[in-house]
Order: sequence, then C-alpha cells, then structure tokens
Amino acid sequence: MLGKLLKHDFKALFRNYSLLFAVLLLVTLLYKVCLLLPKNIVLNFTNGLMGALYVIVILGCLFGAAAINIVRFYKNLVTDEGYLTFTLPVSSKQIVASKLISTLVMDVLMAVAVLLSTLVLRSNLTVLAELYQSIEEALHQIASNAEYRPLIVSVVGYSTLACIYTQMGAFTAVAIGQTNRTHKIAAGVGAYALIYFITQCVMGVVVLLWALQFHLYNTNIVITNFEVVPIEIPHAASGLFFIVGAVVVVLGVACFFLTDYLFAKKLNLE
Amino acid sequence: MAWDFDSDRPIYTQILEEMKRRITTGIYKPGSKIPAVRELAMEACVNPNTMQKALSELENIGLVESRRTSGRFVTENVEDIGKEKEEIAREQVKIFLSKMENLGFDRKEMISMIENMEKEEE
Amino acid sequence: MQENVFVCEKVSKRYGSFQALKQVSFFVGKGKIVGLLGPNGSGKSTLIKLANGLLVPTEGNIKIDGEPVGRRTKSMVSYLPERTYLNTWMRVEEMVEYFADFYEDFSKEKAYTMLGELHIDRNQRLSQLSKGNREKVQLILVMSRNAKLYMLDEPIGGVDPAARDYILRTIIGNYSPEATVIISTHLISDVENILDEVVFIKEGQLLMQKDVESIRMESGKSIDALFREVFKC
Repeated sequence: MLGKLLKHDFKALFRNYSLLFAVLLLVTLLYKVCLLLPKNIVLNFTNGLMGALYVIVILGCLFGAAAINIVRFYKNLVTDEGYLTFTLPVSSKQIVASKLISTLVMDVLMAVAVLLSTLVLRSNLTVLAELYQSIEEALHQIASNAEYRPLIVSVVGYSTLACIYTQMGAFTAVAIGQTNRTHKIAAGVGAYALIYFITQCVMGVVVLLWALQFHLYNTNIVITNFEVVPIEIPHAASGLFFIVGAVVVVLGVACFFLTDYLFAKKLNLE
Repeated sequence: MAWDFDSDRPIYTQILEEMKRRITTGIYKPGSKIPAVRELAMEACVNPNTMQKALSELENIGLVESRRTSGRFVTENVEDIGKEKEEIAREQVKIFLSKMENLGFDRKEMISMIENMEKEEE
Repeated sequence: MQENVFVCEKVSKRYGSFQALKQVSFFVGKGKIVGLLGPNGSGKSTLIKLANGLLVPTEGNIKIDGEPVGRRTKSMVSYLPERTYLNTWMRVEEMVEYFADFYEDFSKEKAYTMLGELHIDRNQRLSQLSKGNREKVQLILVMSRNAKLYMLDEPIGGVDPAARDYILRTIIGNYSPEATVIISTHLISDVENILDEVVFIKEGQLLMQKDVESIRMESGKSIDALFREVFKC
C-alpha cells in the first residue's frame, strides 16, 4: 500500500515540479548561450539581466519546491480530496510517510537540478568558477586530513536530518492547523511558528548543556578562549553535531506520531 | 421505463397486479420465460427484494413456475391463466358496479347505457 | 458469518457544546437497501463520516461486518460523499487506475462500461467535465466496486431526471444478497421505491427504523408523505 501511495504522490508532485524543471532548464540554456556569444555592449547589458533572471529562477525553483510540497499536502489531505485520501484502505501513518518520502526525494531532485545548472554555467561565470574552486580546495583538504572526517560526517548528517525535520514540521503544522474549524491555514501558520519556537528552545538548551561540559570538566577550555590545540575543536564540535542530530531525530519522530494521531483521531474535513 | 406506482400502496401488491396483467393479457405468453428478478427490478425501478417476493407469490398461486437453472416461466396451464383473467375482470366489474350504484344507476340503466354506447361507436 | 453488515451501538458525537448525534443505535442486515432520511443538520452526514473513519465517536462504536471502523473496514465500504472529492486534475482514465490500484474489489470493465453508457470520454480531465458528469463519474467509480457496504450521501441530488433513473437502476442492478446499500437523501419520492427500510433521524436521534412496505400498508401513506408529517417545520 505504501508503494501505491508513493507512486501516486510522485505522480502528483512531478506534475507540478515539471514546470519548475522546464523553466530552470530553459533559463540555464538561454543564459549559457548568452554567455558564449562574443562580447559587446548590448550583450553585456543582457547578460546582466540574464544574471538577475537566473538568480530569480533559482530562488523561485527552491522556494517553489517548498511551496509545492506544502500546498499539495494541504490540498490532498485537508480539502475535499481528503475524502478520497482518508477513505483509502491505508493507515494514516502510511499516508504521512508517503508524503514525507516523496517530498524529500523531489527536494533532492530539485537540489541536484540546481547544482547541475550551476555546473553548466561554471565555466562561463567567474563567480561560479571561483566558488567551485574554493569548494574543491576545501574538499581536498578535508579528504587528506583524517581528523576532520567525523566533523564533516556529523555536519552533513545533521544538515540532512534538519532538512527532513523541517519538512516534517511543516506537515505537522498543517495537521495541527486543520483541527481548527474556521481558520485552518492561519492556525497552521501559527502552529508552524510554535513548532519552530519549541525547536529553537530545545536546541538552545541542548547546545548550552553541551557547552557547559567544557566549563565543568576542563577549566582550561573556556568558551571564548580559542587558544586551543586545533585538533580538539573539530572533535568536540562533531560531538555537538551528533547530539543535535539525535535531538532532531527525536523531535522529528515526535512530529510524525503527532501528525499521525491528529489525522487518525482529530480529522476535521469540511 | 419505470413502472407507474402509487406511492401510498405497498409496491409488492402493485407488482403482483402488473405481473398478473401481463400474464393474463398475453404480454408474457404461456410457457414463456419471464426476465430474471434483477432485470425486472431494474425495469420497474423497484427494490429487488420486493420484486423477488412478488415473483415468489406468483409461484405460490401457480401462475409462474421456477425451473432451477433456467429461471422462471409462465405456467402452460391456460386454464389457470384464464381463471386469473376472470378474477381480474370480476374485480373490475365490481368496482364499476359500485361506482355506478353510487351515481344512482340501477342494473337495467347500466346495461342499456352500455348497449347505447356500443351502438354509438359503430 | 455476520448477519448484520452495519451495526451502530449507542453512538454519540459531540463538537464542543454541540451534540450532533445522541446515543444512536441501529443495525442493517445484508442484502438491504436502506434510506437514511432526515433534514439538514440532523446528523446523517456525521453518522456516515463516522462509519467511514473520517470522524471518531465521542461515545459508542460502529462495526462493519463485525469489525470496528478502521483500515480493514475501509476496504469493505464504498463511499460516495456529497461533494466533488476526486483529484480534479486527473483524467477519468487515471482516476479509474487509481481506484483499481487501491481497491481489490474494483472492476475496471464495469467502470468503463458504465462510462461508455453515459458517453463520458475517458481521456477528459475531471476539471473539464460538467458538474453533472463529474458526479456521474464519482458514482460510477463507487458502484464499480464489489463492496459489502455502499454508503451514498445524496447520490441523485445534482443530476437531471434521466441520470437519476440511470443511477437508481445502477444501484438496483448492483444489488447482491451479500451487499448492503445505505442511501442518505432528501429526494425521498424518487428513491422510496427502491428502499427496503428507512431510518429517520432527527436532531441527532434515531426516530424510527421500519420497512417501507409495512409503512405503506399500515399508514396508507408514501414514505415522502410520512416524512413530511414527521418532520413538519
């Protein structure tokens, strides 16, 4: 059943994403062509415009993806389509899981598309060329220095989990919002603000507790004192990222179960 | 076309009347197969359970017989059909007689009226 | 083997201070076509939503074929809501595939046959169809399932008389002694000939449950007339 839900969710998302992908492709190619043409005054001007357009399109694609994800979720579960979705012979856990997985995969596809787009233009835009150059140098440094690996793993891990958590949190906000009879969307926005606030508080407390350990156990390393052997900061920092990564997982799971509960027991379709 | 029913009388009774009418007037000929319950229910636009009850009653009174795998058939007993026809006719006459009596006609007046109307039609 | 496909035991539903259903209890046997009748706001829709797991009762419980309302019962119940609930951006064909995917008891041939009879183009998007045709598609999808319980909320409300006849005939034609149909409607005179029983609901309470023929025999009235009497404003 989950497979079937995924199939249809991907179909629905793709339908909306394809427009974004098409526009991205078109503008990338157009910009590339403009950049390849021999320079003259007119083209300098249009290249400037294209540059601005390109940035707008990139931002539009990224925000658009987020918008599609949440709007599709809302439409499919909280509006009239909900009558179809929630009478399917599936559990609400499966419905939410399918939505989460499909939106995350599409997010990855969008990120890859944007990345590919920048790679296409890399050789013609100094800004991008320099950016990629420094990224490559950094990666090279990291690869050769084994001590940095735990930090990189934990940072990448945490960032990924944080992205997943953000999406889950948005869904939970919709689930909370729909319990309100009259102002579903407004309540959803309020719920999201609340979730964000709670997340920040929890994170703040966790980070504080983490930082406290240095003060308690090792009075040589005061928080503001950076005269520390370089090897210890990455090690300590990776510990932090692992911890907040775990916190995000716990919060994410809590959000998932809350969302499931709200859709199973507190569904409020009208 | 859905059959015409009076909504304040049981459908079952009305179905029976209509089926008897169809059999006695030869719409369903003796020995012929009558449509299945579902088909009749759809044609009449009535509940299949009600139609089923009516058809069972037709079996009970002998106008219809059920042959297990082939379905329901009108009886071949033309006499029985004739008797049913007569009963229906008698019922109609009774109704006519009572209505005419209410209007104040006696038997002689009724008969001469019938004869006169027949002559007018020729 | 369950004799009663739908059992409702002391079901109550409260929204804040408003009591939508009060201790409603009744059951419906197999092979019956039942009319759920009552004015707007009487609780009919609430009861239907409860039976479909879209709401949870404040008290009491509902069992479909002996099972409490949940994932398993959703595969046994074919529900037609009162509104357009299909993904309007999908084509008719895609919607048929969707139903076939999720419901084992769904018959594609039946669906396409009915769509053909009503001259509905399978390639059209639902958003392009007229409201009447959209409602017909919804009904066709629901009736193409071989379910134990069909719950139809106002199935003939928005369609023309010819379509109404088609819909009623489809309901009759779909009849099986193993299946039960519960129809919630205001258009009583159109529907009463196909009903076995009626259930009257008023202000969240069960007023009566009786078979149609008995009502006509005993009171000499049509269900429509009885309804007007019982629910006089």
